[in-house]
Amino acid sequence: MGFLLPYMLFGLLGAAIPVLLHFFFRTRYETVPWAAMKFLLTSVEQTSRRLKFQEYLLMITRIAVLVFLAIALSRPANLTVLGSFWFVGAVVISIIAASWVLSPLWQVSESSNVNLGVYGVSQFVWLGVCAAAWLLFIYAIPSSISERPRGAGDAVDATFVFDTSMSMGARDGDKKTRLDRAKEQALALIDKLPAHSTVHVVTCAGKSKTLVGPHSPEDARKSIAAVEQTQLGTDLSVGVAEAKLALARGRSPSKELYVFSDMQKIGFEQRTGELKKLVKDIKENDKATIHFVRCGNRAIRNVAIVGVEPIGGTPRPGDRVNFSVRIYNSGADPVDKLEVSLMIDGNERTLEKQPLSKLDGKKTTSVTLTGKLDKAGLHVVTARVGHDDLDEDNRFDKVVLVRDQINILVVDGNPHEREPNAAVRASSYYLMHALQPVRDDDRATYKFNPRIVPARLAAPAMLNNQQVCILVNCAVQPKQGVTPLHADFVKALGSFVRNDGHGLMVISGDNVVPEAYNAVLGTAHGLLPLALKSIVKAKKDEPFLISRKSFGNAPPAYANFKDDLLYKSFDLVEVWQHVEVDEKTTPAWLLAKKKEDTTDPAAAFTNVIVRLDQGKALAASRKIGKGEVIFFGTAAHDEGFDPKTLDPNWTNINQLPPLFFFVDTSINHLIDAHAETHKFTAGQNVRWQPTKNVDSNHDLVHPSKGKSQTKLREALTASAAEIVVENADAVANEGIIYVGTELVHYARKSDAGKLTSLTRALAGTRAMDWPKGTAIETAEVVRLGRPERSGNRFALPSTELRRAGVYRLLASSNLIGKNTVGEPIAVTPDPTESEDLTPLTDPEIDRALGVQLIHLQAGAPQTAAHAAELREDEAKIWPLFLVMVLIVMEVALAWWCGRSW
Amino acid sequence: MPTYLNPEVIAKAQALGMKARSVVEGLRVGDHKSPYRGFSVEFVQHREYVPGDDIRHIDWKGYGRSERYTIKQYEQETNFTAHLMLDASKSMLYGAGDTNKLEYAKTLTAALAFLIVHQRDSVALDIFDSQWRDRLPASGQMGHVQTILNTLVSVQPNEKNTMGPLLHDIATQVRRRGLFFLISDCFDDVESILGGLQHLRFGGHEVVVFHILHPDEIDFPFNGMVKFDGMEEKLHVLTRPQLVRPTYLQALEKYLKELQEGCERNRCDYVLMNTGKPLAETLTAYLAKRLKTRIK
Repeated sequence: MGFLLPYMLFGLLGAAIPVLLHFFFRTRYETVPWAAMKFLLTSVEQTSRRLKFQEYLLMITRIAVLVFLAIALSRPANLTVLGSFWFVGAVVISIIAASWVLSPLWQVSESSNVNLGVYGVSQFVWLGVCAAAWLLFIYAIPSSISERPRGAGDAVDATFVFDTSMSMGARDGDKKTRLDRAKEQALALIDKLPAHSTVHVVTCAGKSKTLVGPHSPEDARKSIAAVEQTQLGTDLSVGVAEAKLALARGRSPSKELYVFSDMQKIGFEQRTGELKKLVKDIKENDKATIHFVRCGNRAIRNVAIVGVEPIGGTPRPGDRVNFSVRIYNSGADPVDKLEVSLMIDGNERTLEKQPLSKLDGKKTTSVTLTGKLDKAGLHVVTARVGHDDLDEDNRFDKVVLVRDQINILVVDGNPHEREPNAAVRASSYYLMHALQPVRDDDRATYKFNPRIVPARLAAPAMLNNQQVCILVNCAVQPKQGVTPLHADFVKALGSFVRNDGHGLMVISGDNVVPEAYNAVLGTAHGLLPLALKSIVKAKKDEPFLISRKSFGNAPPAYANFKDDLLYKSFDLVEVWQHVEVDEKTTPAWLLAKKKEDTTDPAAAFTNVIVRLDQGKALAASRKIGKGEVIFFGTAAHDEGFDPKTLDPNWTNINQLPPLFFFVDTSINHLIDAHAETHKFTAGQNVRWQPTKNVDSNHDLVHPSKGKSQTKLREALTASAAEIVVENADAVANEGIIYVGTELVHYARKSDAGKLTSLTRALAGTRAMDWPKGTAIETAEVVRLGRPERSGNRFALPSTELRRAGVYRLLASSNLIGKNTVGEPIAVTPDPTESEDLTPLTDPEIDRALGVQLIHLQAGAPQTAAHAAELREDEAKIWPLFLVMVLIVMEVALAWWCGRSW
Repeated sequence: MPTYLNPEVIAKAQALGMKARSVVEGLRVGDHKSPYRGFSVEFVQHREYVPGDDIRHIDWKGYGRSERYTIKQYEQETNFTAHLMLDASKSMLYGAGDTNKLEYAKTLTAALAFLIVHQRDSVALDIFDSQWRDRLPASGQMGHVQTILNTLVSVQPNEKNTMGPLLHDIATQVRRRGLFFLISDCFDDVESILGGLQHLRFGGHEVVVFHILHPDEIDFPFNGMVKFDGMEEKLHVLTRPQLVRPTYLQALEKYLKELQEGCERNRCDYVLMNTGKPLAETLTAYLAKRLKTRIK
């Protein structure tokens, strides 16, 4: 509670006026000698109590009139109904107490003596009651007392926080998105702001935020119009923290915070403690009124593409590859009549569509589509699904690496030195056949180009130009009769995987000693996905079998192994011996690495690829740095036979097709993991380490820039002449023009002089060749500058990828006139945002944040007016009404008592 | 010297005459009935002659008719002695000019004295407050009126009224039945006053109470803030009279009712004299009423 004109409280001194007037009139009496004193005394004696009471009541009423008039003129504010009740009660009790305490001074009919004993006690009782009333008032509404009052016309420092997360792009009826509703409501609120108000505009999504202002309300309109949606997750604490700084800078005593959001649950679960602390701080210390404006309140239909994975073997140039498109319905209700499409490199000709009749709520399904990858290199695979209420997560881009040949270094810890190809001893014998299951003549052109090397000869230099390294039955510590891997090679492996993003596959065997592996590959270099426990042998005549069902939880590349009849032979695999892994505890080396790899969510967990029928993991993978490591718990070779039973010592997989399936898919997975270095989630920070063009300036470009996109498309599809006239500015400003995902021209802003040639090139060479309606996009460019040397590597400055879509990393060598694509980087929308779109209710928000907030509904007709009313927290009605009632009471009492003064 | 013989009052009162309604004892044969059976004009009864009776009073005509000696008795007419008891306490000082209670009472006293002496009756004056202040013995001489007037002039109130004991006192002092005029504002204990009146009536006296009240005391017409200073007691009351008027009037009414009923009970005449009204009017009204009662 507070007062807008606190100095008017001096008017409380006016409470003495009735008493003074009373004294004044009391001194002006007429003296009459009186004979019939007997009757007069009798009369006074009979009436004195009543008269005193009337007099007291009248005096209290008159004092109360002046007290509440002074309070009304002081313009009390920030009082709730309950607070007003307590406040009025406390004041009235105070008046009664004060007037009672002072009553001997002004009581008129004093013909009878006052019982001072009783009177003194009652004084203290009343003073106690008065003190108790005030304490109760203060205790009952502490928040009201602490809040700073605001007048109806006071200028306001308003801060608008816009949640620009992906979910704000959901259409909420009549084709408007939630962000559109937020903007409309913000503009309506600005209309109601008093004159001379200032407005800050904060946008927040994920960890990014922007702050503009302070603006005049008129300028703020432009800033609000420019607010754009992102594909990031919801994290309101970031925006509220920024808003707090803006509010703290404000000079107006009247501060307001408006948070425009769809109140998605996840937004309050991300750093709840910090958000709670911020809101409380803003409310209590900055004395700001906090409004949470709910944008959209209807349940939305939403399906999201959560993954695109190549299925089966490693793709080669010219192959038509199966892609598994995983679709998730994040809503509670089923969605029907969906259409899933897949496109390679933004080429409409490669578009393949498939209908999906129905997808139940909270369910995920996979749709297989094919795409032809013509050339070696990085390809952008774009999957789309439609149609629902939220478009942003309906597109999923993935960069797929297609190589002519994949170089694989196979390090055999148990080679046959004389006859490497002999099956008797070499552990890599069947593995090599699995890697090259073709005739000798075709091996040179087969997609895998394995190179075998004995463990004792393995050297770091051998890892050069290799994409995958496979350790087969290698010892890492000295063992009788076995030469371990050289320490330098193991160290180089760490860099090979972690820094270069290559794949490592570790296959077990007799030379794999769990303790040694844990010490060397685990603790020392962090290259094991899980800690190894011990060697487990099957009972006689009871080999372990592979559980095909367990492939269901494996990475998508292995998904077909689960049900496809083609892979039924996995059921025949017998495992007689395997290395058990410890799934329950995360090894210390992974915990340490986890901290380093915080930008990569995939590094946070280990994938079990396949399990044995008794439930133990047989193969597991984990992202380690940029690369990935697969540990295979049994051997790729029989490693000898039991002389009594002729059962293989380790497994019979070497004699069955599954070895080929598994190795082929694993290599594909590891190569795909390598391509994962080109895949990020919106909101991630990227510190790119180029290996080429290290002397060139680099730019990161993104093909989406709202308004000019439409203009340019219309112009390009109209006529070549119009391009020159209408889009010179757009081209000059943006510098980049894309057609689909293909970058067709690129110019820096400083190259404005070359615009003529650029536009001519556009008009004359390419523009008219493009099919009508082709998506033509301009791009935003982030100047990354020249890479800086960091040790043996070069690194570009860290950049936040705020938008989903395909970025291109370009070096300055790709300049004017050259049609280049650049290195693609696929950025997908924040998957956590699509996972659960459930909003919190208003009471749940209040409970979560621990404060009572003002909740408004965007788009409701009365919201802006209601906010304006809330701003006018001055209590206008009740004080004046109270004064009026008291005046009426005074008149009635005076009439009843038959006196004026 | 102020003259308390108001010609107008005297004239009106004289026309009506002051007749003792009841039997009074007088020392001479006058206009008034005597309690003693005498031999005057008005026949009362016959009685048997007993030796010792004056033979002049024998009814010889009766003897001729019945041959028995009878005595013829007539009512004896006599003059009466009126006792004017004037309250000269401080409370009688209330009022200004003609409405001053004491002056009003003095005028009334003088008028009554003149009337009584004028019809050849005797009058005594007893001035009192808390005790007897001045007492003039009864006399029927016209010069006695002048003495009364001189006494009235010299009255200076300085005490509180304590009437009851004095009424008892005078009741024991006056043996011969007579007429008592009590002229007072009666601001004393009603029981005490009525006790005294009862005592007088027990002695066979006729008592007339002239209750002198000022209009202010009857109507209590004050407004605003007024401090009432007690005239007899050292008391003061600061109050708003308009607020206590109802209860004051109730108390006064109760008091008057008690007094009036007490007088009626004791067969005393009670006359409320409002000093705001002309004395002649009030006195004339009373005398007319008294005359009417007597004729009945």
